[in-house]
Amino acid sequence: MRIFCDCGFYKFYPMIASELIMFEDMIGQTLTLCENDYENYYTFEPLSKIKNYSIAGAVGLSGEIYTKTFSANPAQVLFENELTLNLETGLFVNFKTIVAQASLGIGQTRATTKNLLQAFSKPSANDRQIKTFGCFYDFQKRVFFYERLYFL
Amino acid sequence: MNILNAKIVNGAVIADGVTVKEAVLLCEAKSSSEGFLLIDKDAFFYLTKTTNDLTKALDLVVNAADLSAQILNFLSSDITEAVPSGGGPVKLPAFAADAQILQNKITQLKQQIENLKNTQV
Repeated sequence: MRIFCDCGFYKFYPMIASELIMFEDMIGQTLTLCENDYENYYTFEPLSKIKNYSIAGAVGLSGEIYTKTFSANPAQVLFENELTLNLETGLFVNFKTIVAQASLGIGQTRATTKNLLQAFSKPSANDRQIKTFGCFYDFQKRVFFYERLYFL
Repeated sequence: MNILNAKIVNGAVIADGVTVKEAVLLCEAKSSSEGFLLIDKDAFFYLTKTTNDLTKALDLVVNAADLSAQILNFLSSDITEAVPSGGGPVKLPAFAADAQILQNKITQLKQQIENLKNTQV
């Protein structure tokens, strides 16, 4: 399963259908298919409802308040409003409030985690927040292998 | 770019039920109106729909044409028919009252056009 998290907007690209089912079982959530002119991907259900624009003062799905009138793709809309999905609660929160620490293991060639990385978490307290990353999930080893990590 | 239905109420632009602060108005915004909110990245504009106003204006033009027809009919019936073959009064007794009604209609139509002009946004 390939995964790309752009500014907190998770996109899952299963290679085969069974991967999706196994992954959903593992995370305990059903992912939602999103289709547009450019690509098809799966994402968390709350993220699938994010519009490609925001109006300052509008109240979002979790009661979060948008702070900026902005139009772009959903990932950029979330980022401009300083919002991200908290994977534990399933709610949208200000990304500055993310305190989860990214338990990055350093493999021979790549950083790894046992669980899916929370966007805007930090490898350690003094590090910057991880804004964007690309990874793949190895079902046999049950590990996420990270290929790219971009910090805020 | 996103284009949303929007409106102006009491000078405030409203879209998706939310007041859009600091929207750039591409109109005079003299009164309430319906229009569109255009959002392109962090720039956003309000543009009024002109079709509603245009429809009203055309209705008034049609009314004006109808009124002109009534005036011509009035002139031909109240004056010419009043002239008997052997002479007599050149207008019917109702001429003054009918003329007043038409004058009122013209005044009313003129006022409607003025109102429409003043509420253009």
